Amino acid sequence: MSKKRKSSKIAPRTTAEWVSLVISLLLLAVVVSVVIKLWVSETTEPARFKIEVGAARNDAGQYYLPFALTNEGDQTAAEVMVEGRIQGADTEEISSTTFDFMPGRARQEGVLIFSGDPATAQLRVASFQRP
Amino acid sequence: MSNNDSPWRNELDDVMRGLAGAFLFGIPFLYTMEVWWKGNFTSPQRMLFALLLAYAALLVLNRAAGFRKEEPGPWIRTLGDSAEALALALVTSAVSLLVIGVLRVDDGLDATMGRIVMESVPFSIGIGVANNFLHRAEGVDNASGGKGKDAESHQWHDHSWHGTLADAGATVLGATLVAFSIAPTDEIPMIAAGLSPARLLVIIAVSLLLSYIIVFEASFGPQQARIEQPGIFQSPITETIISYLISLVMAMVMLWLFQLLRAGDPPSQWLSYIIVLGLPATIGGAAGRIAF
Repeated sequence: MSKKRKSSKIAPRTTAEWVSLVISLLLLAVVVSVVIKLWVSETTEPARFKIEVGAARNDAGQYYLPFALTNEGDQTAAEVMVEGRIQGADTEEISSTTFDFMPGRARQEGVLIFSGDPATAQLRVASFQRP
Repeated sequence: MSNNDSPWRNELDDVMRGLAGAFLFGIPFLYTMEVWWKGNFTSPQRMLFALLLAYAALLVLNRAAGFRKEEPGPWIRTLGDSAEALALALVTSAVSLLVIGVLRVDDGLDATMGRIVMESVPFSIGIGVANNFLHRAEGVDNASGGKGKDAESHQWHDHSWHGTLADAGATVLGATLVAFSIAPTDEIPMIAAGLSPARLLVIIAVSLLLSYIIVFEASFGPQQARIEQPGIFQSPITETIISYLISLVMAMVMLWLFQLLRAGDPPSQWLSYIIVLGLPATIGGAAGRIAF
């Protein structure tokens, strides 16, 4: 980006120009090598989920159960639905939430809300779509 | 300014002009979620292709502009200049996505790279256009002497309401032109929702800085004339701040018009939406003041 000087006469690059050129080339090299690394390491491992459940919080009679969802596969999943279920003796409570988007290796957090104590809640990914 | 002709100052000017161009042309794409969205599942092959495309566009722009002058310069210089522009586009893309909260550490490397690379394509073209077509001819540039910093020493003598109104009008026009197409979109609530108060402050700072760079540092329009134009806007800092306030008001009006903001909405929502739309509005306002 040195049009100013080059238009009139083609002067040799100044130190400043060299420095910015070298920094630019280094940056580009990093970006291109990261992309190539992604390419080489690209696997077709399908989306696969892990759910870590946090500690429930009781607020005005409702239990807020935080969790973290990690996509351990490489492929992206869309509309990932997480479903939590509390199985009582004769009752069953189901709560669910949907993540719009889970790229490979990404981690996102969510909260499920129950009216019963979710100490025994079972969380699972019920469904997702391939984008 | 004594250091205005130093090679470092020249390099800095080039970067400033590139930044200004990147945002002038890239801001509508930055506020388009499909661009980040598609970046999420772009394969590495496609990313490389996008980088090549951006680089090719820069080569063409740099070369075409070179031919318009008497001497396009050696190819090796064009290759280097284009590489610098592409690197600047990538950095700008990454920083701007970070600022509006679209890049997060948790998203995984390929989604992050995809977003940065996809967003860098329009930014590259903006930089190429700014460097080659918006930049004033060298002779005029020299004749005007120092710019930017000189402006601060400018004394705003004899106020002219005419000049002030013209500036305000140009800001309103430019802000409306750029932000009107962004105001009704889902991107505003979507971006605003993810922003902490600290992030909002960063957006305010970035808005002011970009506005200042576009008008006073990028050597686009008749800068010296701007600096000497009388009116209460003068003193670049004052002009930048007042124009930002005008852009915020325009952003508010547009958001209200498209019913993204209603009377009963909480103040925090008003504030965050206005600041988020204020960024493209300010950039439009700055462009307006150069153009009109």
